[in-house]
Amino acid sequence: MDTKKKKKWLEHTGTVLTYIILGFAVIAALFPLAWVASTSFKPGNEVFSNPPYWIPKMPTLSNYLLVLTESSIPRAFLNSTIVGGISTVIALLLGGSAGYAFARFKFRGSKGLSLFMLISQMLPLTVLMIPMYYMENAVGLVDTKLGLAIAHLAISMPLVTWMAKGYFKGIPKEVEEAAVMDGCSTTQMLSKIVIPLLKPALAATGIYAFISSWNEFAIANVLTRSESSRTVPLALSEFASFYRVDWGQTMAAAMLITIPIIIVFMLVQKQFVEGLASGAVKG
Amino acid sequence: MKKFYLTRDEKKAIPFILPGIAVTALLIIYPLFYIISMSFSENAIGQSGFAGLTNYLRLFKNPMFTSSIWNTLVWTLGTVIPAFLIGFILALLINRRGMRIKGVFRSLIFVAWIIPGVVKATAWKWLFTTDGGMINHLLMSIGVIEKEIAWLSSPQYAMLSVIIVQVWACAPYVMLMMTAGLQQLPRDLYESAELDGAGWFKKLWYITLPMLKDVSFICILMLLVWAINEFSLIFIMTSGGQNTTTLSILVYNQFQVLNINSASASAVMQLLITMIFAALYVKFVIKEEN
Repeated sequence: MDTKKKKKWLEHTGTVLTYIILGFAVIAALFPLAWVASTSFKPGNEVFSNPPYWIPKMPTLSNYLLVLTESSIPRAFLNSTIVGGISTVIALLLGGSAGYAFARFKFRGSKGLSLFMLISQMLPLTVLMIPMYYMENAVGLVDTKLGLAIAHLAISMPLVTWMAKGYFKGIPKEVEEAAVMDGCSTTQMLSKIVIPLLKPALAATGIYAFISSWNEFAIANVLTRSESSRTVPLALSEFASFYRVDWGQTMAAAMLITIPIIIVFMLVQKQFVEGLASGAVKG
Repeated sequence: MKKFYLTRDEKKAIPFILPGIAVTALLIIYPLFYIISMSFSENAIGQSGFAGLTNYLRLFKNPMFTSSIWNTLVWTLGTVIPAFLIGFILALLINRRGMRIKGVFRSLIFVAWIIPGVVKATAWKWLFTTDGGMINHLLMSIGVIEKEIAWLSSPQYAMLSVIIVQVWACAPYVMLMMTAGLQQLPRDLYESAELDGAGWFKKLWYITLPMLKDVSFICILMLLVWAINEFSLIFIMTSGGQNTTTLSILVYNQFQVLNINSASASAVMQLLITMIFAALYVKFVIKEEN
């Protein structure tokens, strides 16, 4: 075999090997979710079969029906939506305009403040948890949806401010100057020109903020007690913490929580990935 | 007295920035002051009494604290290093010349990262169960283990189990960041290196690695910060049992038994450790901006 042929053969084997390894990586990444899905469609006696198997023999929707009709999950969905909605709207309004100021105006302390917003995204939630609890306890906000939404602002404000700053910087100042020359007021210029230009980016920022509230566990765990304010992550963890866990129902609940997130992610994948690369760092 | 004045830009900036600053001050800066001052006080809330370093000295003598530091170290190194290496290797493979369906591989692997944290923890808790758990079954059927292992409730395996989950969850993030970085590398650099007869390893060592220095640095810092801050995964899977009490779990446990001053001192220690890496990250961002 001459060297050229050998080289080609090597490259070919390399490609095949690469596909095999990546195939394994995909399986490794997805099999936990596949197992969640499989369990969620199994009737009670199949869930606990030993040895376990992947394809349900008598697939059923009863786990889903029970979760949707007799558990705290629907209530938690509503709570999570309200909590996430409130904190996202406030964060977009206040964080968005702060981001605009950082991007457009020169003022004393601008750099320090914007870096503070960046570093705040890395604060441990266990550090915020204790003061948050006593502050909200003092004003009677513990175990309320509003209280949790306010607490989640500590997460979403820095995130939104930092991301918005980047987006507004990307719009050339000339665009704004031209609008003002044409007789627009600042408000008109923002609402008619700048914000429409950034609609997809700001929508992605809002979704990012909403998801971080939707997924948040540590703070919600200490700030909520009753079903009236407990969010989805807490409802799920309660499912899985009984002495004898009903794994079928738990996994059905897990599916219901995960599917909206995956769909949303697919819709905004591009902006999401760009956000990650531009320093939106909350995991 | 010097007269206080505002520039034109500052006057314009105030209405935009003030509400944001107020909220941040209330929800982030005040809590930080609060927890720092609690860590230097004795007695509970309301009856402040300055205690100097008492809480810290007590903490350093507390074997629970020392073991939580050790656990945090094991957890952090055990997750960051493998997650980075695996993610990086996956990115190199995906970016190999002539690979098709790159985007499909990338998106599918990335699913592991976007699943909500609580679902990750719950799903893996179920995978790791005994009496018919999937992991035990798989490992037994390929002959790696002979009988079931109580992954989450045995001191030898509990930390390993949670580490596996964190690596599984974070490697896709590294993969994504690295593929983005790799795509920006100039193709012609590789071509001229090939003309000079550089092999696969030489290209990796002299071109790819140096050019990915920045993005690697960011990935590693993020992984470090996330590892030190992680709470829900460990809390849900093991509740901090079997040598998995990291600093964040310790803070929570001390808070739960209303040992507020110790909890605050532990929290401040956690804050200090995280902030070392956060500061490096910020320093890097400043360098980038200039």
